[in-house]
Order: sequence, then structure tokens, then C-alpha cells
Amino acid sequence: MSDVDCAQALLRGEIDVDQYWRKSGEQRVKSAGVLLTEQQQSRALKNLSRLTVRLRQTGFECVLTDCGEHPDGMATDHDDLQQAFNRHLVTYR
Amino acid sequence: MSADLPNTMAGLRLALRDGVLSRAQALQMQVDRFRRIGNLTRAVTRYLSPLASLEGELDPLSGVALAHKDLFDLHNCLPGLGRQAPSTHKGLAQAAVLNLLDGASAANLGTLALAEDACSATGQSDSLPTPVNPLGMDVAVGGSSSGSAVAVASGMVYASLGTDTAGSVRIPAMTCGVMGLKTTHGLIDRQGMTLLCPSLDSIGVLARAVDDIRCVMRVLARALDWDNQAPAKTLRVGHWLAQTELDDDVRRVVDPVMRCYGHRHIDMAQHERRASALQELVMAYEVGQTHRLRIAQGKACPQVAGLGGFGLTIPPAWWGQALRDRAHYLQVFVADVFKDVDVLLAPLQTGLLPRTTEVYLGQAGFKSAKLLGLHRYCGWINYLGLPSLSIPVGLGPDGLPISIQLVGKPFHEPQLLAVGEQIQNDIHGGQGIMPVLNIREQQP
Repeated sequence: MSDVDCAQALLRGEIDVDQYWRKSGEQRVKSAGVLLTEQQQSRALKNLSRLTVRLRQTGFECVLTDCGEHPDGMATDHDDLQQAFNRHLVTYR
Repeated sequence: MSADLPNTMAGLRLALRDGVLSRAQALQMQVDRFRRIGNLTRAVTRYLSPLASLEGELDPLSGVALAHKDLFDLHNCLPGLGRQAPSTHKGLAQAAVLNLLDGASAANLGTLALAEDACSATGQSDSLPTPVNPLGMDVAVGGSSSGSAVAVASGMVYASLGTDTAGSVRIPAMTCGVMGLKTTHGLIDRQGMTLLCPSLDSIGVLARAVDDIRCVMRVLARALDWDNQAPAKTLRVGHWLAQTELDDDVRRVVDPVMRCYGHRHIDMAQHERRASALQELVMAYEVGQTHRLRIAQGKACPQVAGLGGFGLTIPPAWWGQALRDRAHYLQVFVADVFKDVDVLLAPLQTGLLPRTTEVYLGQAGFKSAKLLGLHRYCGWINYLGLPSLSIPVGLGPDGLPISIQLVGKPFHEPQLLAVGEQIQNDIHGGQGIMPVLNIREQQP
């Protein structure tokens, strides 16, 4: 199961946050160089579970495409997404 | 600002024009007041020696002294970000927004306190002194632009720049009883500003009078048409109040104001729920990315570590989708909400202003619901990139201010300020809000 598949499955309720964590989340956080304490992990997953419910309730239709994690964090894809939003914003001037 | 200084920039400009005050006198009076009250309020992280033109034609902000959130690069000086005092960094250029104010001849008196890394709904700081609310020692100061709100409310300055990711201009303005404008995302150049969440951060202005915000905005956003704004009476104003989570004490104040100025009710509940959830997603994710090194090293403050740690667990694909949906969702929102109104009055404050013991971490009386209530109705606006003006509209039974927010279409700040000014004039008078200083000297 790829990271994107896991993300989609979590949002659809096919797996819970603990399963998501084991299949995808933990590795990604570790590869970011971060080791969460047990308490931090528990709190983060509780928040993730709450956010998942909120997103489901608001009909967040996730047509997921892999954003790809760039070594510089948000650098590449974010610029494109930001520019697209900025281009739309200026139409209201 | 004092018996000798007018309360507004417009008043100061008149005094300068008519020769009642010289620019040098006005500046010296502002410097003295800034230092005297700054020591009481703990709002200043560094005092600067103001450089300002004292001769020649009056520029838009000639004779006006300001001070700003310690989040902007200064000449040869890195911002302290609420972690430490600003530090020397040879060769560093000043932030674009400060260059614009310099160009209008504003003097910069100092850098102001903020919640560490601009990541908290209160001004509580573990690293530096927490600023004191001029409304009362026990009244919490909202964050993250805490020093800016304290400086404005206490009369240290006419106006101050803050930044807003999830209410960080509007919340401190609300808790200190002044006004705060969060600008349209991207309207003001953020070069030289330390970002928390690149997708959500906007620069804002806090002041005691709407016209003072306008004076600063004329300098920062010249592309907007500030001179041909339709009168407030001709603008269509709506309100959203039904199904909102307001305490009765707040509702009693807010309800009649909203009905008086907002002639049409707009049901926003569904939009707000969706945009708030997406804002939370984007913010947590980006705090995690921005600060992952500090989190990994154990150097992040509790707020950044908590929110960022959560953010690191969020699937990148969700974040990407939230940003890809943003333009479309804004389009839907504007078409739905702003089809019949130009300005929307919306809730900001959910309960009476909290005490420090209720919302500062580690306090015996800490109530997480009170802390969450501070930003309950802020984030959705950041996700949509909209401008919003917070303004006090009355007093609660505790004698402390109660605020609402005015929301407009992107780049419609002049309209927001027009309606805000009408409300200000009716409720507070043409001079805006008077400075307060209900505090006493503290032990360091």
C-alpha cells in the first residue's frame, strides 16, 4: 500500500489512525528526522483522528495525487499551488 | 496618545500642518511615551533609534512613530521571533514592508513581543517576558501579535504591523480592545518576514482608529483604490449569527449590532465548517514542515512542537488536495456569500475575554475550551485568503470589550474599512478608541 493509498484509506475510514501510523505515518515522520515521544505520538494521532472526522463531515473529496515529499519540505509543489491560488485571487481586484 | 498628542494620525497630521507641533517635538513625545509605557507593559523586545525626516514636504506618515511585531528583518538585524532579542546579522536587508513605511517617513521605534514563532492564540512566552494587557493585569493578551496589540491599546504607538495565520492579528486586537485588519493573502509583500505557514500568513495592521489603519494601508497597498470608495451607507452589509457558538453574554452585545448594520442574514455555517477544517489541516502540516528541524532537535516551543508534531503525521496528499481545492472553493464561497452583500459581519469573540489563569499554559485554572474559543472563528478566513477587520462593538458585563469581525471579498479592504469606520464612529466616536493603562509596575 503506497502512502497515497494509505492516506485515502484513512480518509475513507477503511483503516484507523493506528493502522495508518504503522503503514505510512511513522516512517514518514522518521524520515523527516523527527522522533516523537510516546506522549507526542499519542497526542498527534488523537488530533489526526479528530481531523479525519472533521474532514469526512465536510465532504473533503480526496482525489489524491502524490504531492511527493521534497527534501526541502514544501518547496517545489507548494510554489505551484500557491501561484495558482494567487492567480485566482487577483481576479477579484 | 496623551494630553499633548492627538489620538489619531489624522489629528497629528493636522497639528503638524498647523504648526501646533513640530515633527521633532511630535517624534520626541512619541519616543518618550513609547519607552515609558513600554517598560510597564513589557511589550518591547528591542528599542530602536528612530530615523525620520524632520524637514521638507509632509510625507504620508511624517511625524508618525510606529513599532512592529518582531518578525520582520531589520537592516543588519535578524528578528527575535519571540525566542530572544533581535540579533545582529551584517548585510541583512530590511523587510519590504518596513521599506515602504520608511519611504512614507514613518519612524520605527522598536520591535514588539509575540508568541514564540508566531504560533499561539495567546501572548504567553516561556523565553521572554509575557506582555501585560493594558485593560488589566489579569486579562489575557491574545497572540500571536501580542506586543502590537498591547502597544496600540496602551497608546505607545498609533499603529503596528502584525501577522495573521489563524487570527494572530484579530485575536490580540480583540483581547486588548482595539482594531485589527488581516489583509488579503498576498496583498502585502512578505519578503523579509519570517513565515510560519506560507499558504496562510498575511501581514496585518492594528490601530485604535479605522482611519489610522487606512493611513498605513495607503502606504502598504497602493494598488488598491483608497480614494474612490463608495460611502458605507451604499454598501450592502450582511450578517452571520445563527448557529454560531457564542456565550449569551457575547450574543447579547453582538446580536443588536449585527442586526443594526447587517440587513441580510447569510447562513455561513457549512462554509465555515469546511474552510476551518481545511485551514487546520494546512496550518498543522506547514508548521510541521517549517519547524521540523527545531522539533527534531527538541528546540521548538510547546505550541510549535505540539502543532508541528501533529502536522508531521498528516498525509502530504491531504495537504496538497486542500491547496488544490482552494481557488475553486473560494470561487464557490464568493459566488454564494457575496452575491447579495459587499461586507459580511461575522462572529469573532465567543465568550467574555479570558483571564490569564484560564488560557495561559500551566496555570491552575487553565481551560482548554477558553483557549480554543479565542481562535474558533478565525481560521476559515485564512484558508480562503480573505481580508477581515476585527472591531470592538460593546462591553460585556465584566466591563471588557466584545468584538466582531467584518469580512470582505479579496482586495476589498477599502470597503471593509468604510463599514468599519461607520461602526467606529457610531460606537466609539470619530477619534476611535482611547488608550487605556489599567496596570501597575511589576517586578521583573
